[in-house]
Amino acid sequence: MKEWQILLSGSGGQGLGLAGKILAEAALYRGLHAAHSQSYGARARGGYSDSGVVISSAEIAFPLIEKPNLLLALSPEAYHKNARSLDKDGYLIYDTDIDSAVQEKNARGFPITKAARETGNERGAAILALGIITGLFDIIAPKDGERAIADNLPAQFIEPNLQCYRRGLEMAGQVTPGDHTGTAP
Amino acid sequence: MTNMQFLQGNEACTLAGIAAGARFFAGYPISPATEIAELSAKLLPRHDGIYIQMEDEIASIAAVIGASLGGMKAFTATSGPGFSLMQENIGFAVMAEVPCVIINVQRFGPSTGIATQPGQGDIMTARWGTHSDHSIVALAPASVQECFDLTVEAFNLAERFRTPVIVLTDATIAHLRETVSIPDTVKTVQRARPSGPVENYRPYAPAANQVPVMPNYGDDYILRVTGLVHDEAGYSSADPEVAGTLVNRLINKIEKYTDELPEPEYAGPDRPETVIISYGISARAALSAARRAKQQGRSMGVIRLRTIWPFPEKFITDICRSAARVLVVEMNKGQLLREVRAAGITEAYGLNRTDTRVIMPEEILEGGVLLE
Repeated sequence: MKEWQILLSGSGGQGLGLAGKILAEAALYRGLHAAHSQSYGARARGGYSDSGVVISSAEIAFPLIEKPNLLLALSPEAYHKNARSLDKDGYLIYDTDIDSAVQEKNARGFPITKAARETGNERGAAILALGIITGLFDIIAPKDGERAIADNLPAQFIEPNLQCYRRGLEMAGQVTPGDHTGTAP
Repeated sequence: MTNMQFLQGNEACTLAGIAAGARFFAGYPISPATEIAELSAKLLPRHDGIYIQMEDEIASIAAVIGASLGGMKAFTATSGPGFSLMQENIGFAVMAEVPCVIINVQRFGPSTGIATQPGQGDIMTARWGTHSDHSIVALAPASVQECFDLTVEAFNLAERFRTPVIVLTDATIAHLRETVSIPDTVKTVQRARPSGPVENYRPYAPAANQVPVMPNYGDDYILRVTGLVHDEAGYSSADPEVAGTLVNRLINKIEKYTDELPEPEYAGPDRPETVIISYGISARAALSAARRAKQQGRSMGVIRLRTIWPFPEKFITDICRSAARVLVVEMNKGQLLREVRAAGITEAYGLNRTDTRVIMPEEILEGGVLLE
């Protein structure tokens, strides 16, 4: 497999840092190499926030995102800030709530925040998006995603987040295969 | 047996300290080093160790020095502003020959700079931040695994040389998560203790490798501790002979044994046309650039420093001698570049960034092309 450079972006409080760690650990369970970085700072609540995950079958020389080939945008700011840097064959998954004229060719919108809210856990938006990513792309296995969620959350938060994750997997399942699915470009 | 864990650099530094035998941490939390204090507070009590949050960084390094004199392996962690405050007492630890480890997670800019962004601007602070002539050991990890390995090494070198050792990480490595192999046990160095009659014991008489043996403060062996120039018995002195001998010994006990320090790693062809010299997170970009350069049929090698101070001059000059181009890649205004030039590689160029952004592999590839 070619290297995945996955940038999860949105707002502080959406759980992007945790989702990145879970994604990376699920990749490790599969025997892949992974590195995870996340933004820090005063903007951690409410303002722009992101989390980068590099996943590769080979040892990772440079562990940070250079040019994402899979971008998640959960806020308008995240979309406008990062869409330009997306690899020309890269994939974009965005929240349809961001209400922007998305023009990228491999783009697909989902009502991510809305769906997370419907499960009763709006703060699980990034985890729900992780479910979508798991379903659409050959990166991590659903069982590894669930295991990593259970490993990273306090007992009382595991079930609500698993619900978000599974909802994301369902939403991905409704997409016609071929269009927006695949391996690293 | 080893245990694989997915950790941040700061976590790896803390676990390494405990694995190396550290049982005392005193510090003042500061971004981006805070997790080291946080995890030390959690783990040290479980290992019968002591964690103290001090009122500032001056007190933190003072407490660490006291704990070490009392017989414990001790460390602190900080970032630029706190590292500046620690300089006077780092000099004291050099002069009084107190083993200790200072982890400096470099953040961006002078003064309080930007608390959450990375920099590599403390290279010269580590070397010359404390006043007057002295030698210092400073190590620079480039991965989370090395945060573990080199922090263990830092404790061992501190005991071996009876001197403070600085670990220079940066905000990026500190918060990066990578897989780390943590062995069940690590090789540790225990400090040499005095034996023989207590009378006439001279705490600063050079023993093996010019390093005196050290009792615990409060033992029967009398340990006089001072930052003043002192004779072998530990009494302060203004005698030129004593002063010259002491300062020379403090420097020579490290500089004459640099082959015991972590060597640079070289990756690349035998006679590279372009040599990149780098360290820390910048070295990761350099290694990635060299991999791509090879695919393009270009001859690029990377010297990755693990020990910054003492500067591994011979290793670098041996490889650079036949190179057409030498590029020093670092997130500062060329602090190590000056050292490379001083070593006789006068044609070395710098590739620098001082805007909080990490240097990217493509920039290094392009930098190499510009020189060609």
